Amino acid sequence: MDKTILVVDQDRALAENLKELIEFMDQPYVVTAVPTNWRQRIGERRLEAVFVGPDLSDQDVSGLLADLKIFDPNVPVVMMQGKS
Amino acid sequence: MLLGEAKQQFPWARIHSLAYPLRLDALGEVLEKIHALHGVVHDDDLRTGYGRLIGDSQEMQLVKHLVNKVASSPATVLITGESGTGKEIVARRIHDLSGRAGPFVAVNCGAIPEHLLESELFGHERGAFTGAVNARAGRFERAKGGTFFLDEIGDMPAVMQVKLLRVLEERVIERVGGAKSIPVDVRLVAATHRDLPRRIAEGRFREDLYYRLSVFPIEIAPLRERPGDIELLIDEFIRRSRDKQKVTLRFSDHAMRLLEQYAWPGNVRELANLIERLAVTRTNGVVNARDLPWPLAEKCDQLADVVDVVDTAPQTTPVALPADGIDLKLYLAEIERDMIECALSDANGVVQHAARRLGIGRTTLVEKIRRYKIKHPI
Repeated sequence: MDKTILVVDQDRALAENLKELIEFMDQPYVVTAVPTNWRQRIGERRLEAVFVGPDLSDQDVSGLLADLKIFDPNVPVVMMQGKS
Repeated sequence: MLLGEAKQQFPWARIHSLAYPLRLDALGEVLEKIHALHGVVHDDDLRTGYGRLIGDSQEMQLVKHLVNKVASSPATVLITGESGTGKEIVARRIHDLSGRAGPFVAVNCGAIPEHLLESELFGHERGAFTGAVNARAGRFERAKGGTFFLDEIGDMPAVMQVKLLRVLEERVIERVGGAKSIPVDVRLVAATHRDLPRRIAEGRFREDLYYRLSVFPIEIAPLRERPGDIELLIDEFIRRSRDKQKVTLRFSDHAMRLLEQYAWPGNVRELANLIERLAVTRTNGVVNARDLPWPLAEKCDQLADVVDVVDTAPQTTPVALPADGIDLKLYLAEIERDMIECALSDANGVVQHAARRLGIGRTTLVEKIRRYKIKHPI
């Protein structure tokens, strides 16, 4: 099964933008705005990378990374930066 | 959370950054880095046949000869050549012919953040740093009994060059935070697009490491220096697009000549990408000179007169009907749409002129433009 890119982002426009780019690159993806439900969303799929939106609170980022550490600590995390 | 804070708070995590607003090239770069981090190539990838060395030029014959000669020996190999010339394919071929039972493991030294590279190559012991809750084997250990391919070795940080030199001299590694020397049984193949002697002169690459690596050097010539290989490569990429996208591309003589004359700064990778893109966009399979993208199309415009003569001439490629047939109406409609777009582009969007070039009336052309939803400058 192909690995999936997970996008966790609360900014709908940014998530949409990223989704379009990932689609253009023919990569499978799952988008969620809720940082606690990604395990259910990805199902049995393995993760290629996790994109973390800039609007997530520090607490949400910490929680997400703690969950990821248990799931697979080798999964690369991409933090989106520089949003004004 | 800022990037620096995240890296400090979660030292175990493999954190990258992506700047907003998002750009396709920046996303591509991040994903490439990620692929480099997870760059273990499994045997399945090698069984596809895509790892063959293609080309009959003297330059490629020499590369094939050197690969065959060195494959079964344990010698360290240094492959040099411009980006896109196929250095990794040569490395895989060496592994394939080596008879070594272990895996082919690749790592891109330029793509892995410096602070992660040591742990990535040598692994780490439990508690080596905050968050290292489990011991983890590095790439050297994972390549046990196989081939370890260090791509972009010219971009390896200086501190890692010293550590790699020690591995090459003593054939042992130490995990980060570990005191035990672990023997490594790997065949090392390195590659770079950099001019290593120049980097040595600039003080950016260790001379002693260079001599350790270049026991058996193989240089791959850029595609522009072996134009005779272009047709063979195109045939191979057409075969792949037929397998993958179920489209058989057929190039007009003039399009083929343009491809052979082009300098291919991105080398074989650029050619492969072009064929793949054409297989997606030219669903009818026919590729004329005008269908080639910039900068090839620019050359096509300069030779417009020749194009008109050659591309309107009957195709020399024999017509073959696919075994499962075609939808003739759809096929002809695609050709018609392409011709209309071409005529409109030539006429700078002036429908009257385009209609004249197509030999149809203006009203008919307007109706066809509407039907095909063609966007054109008016």
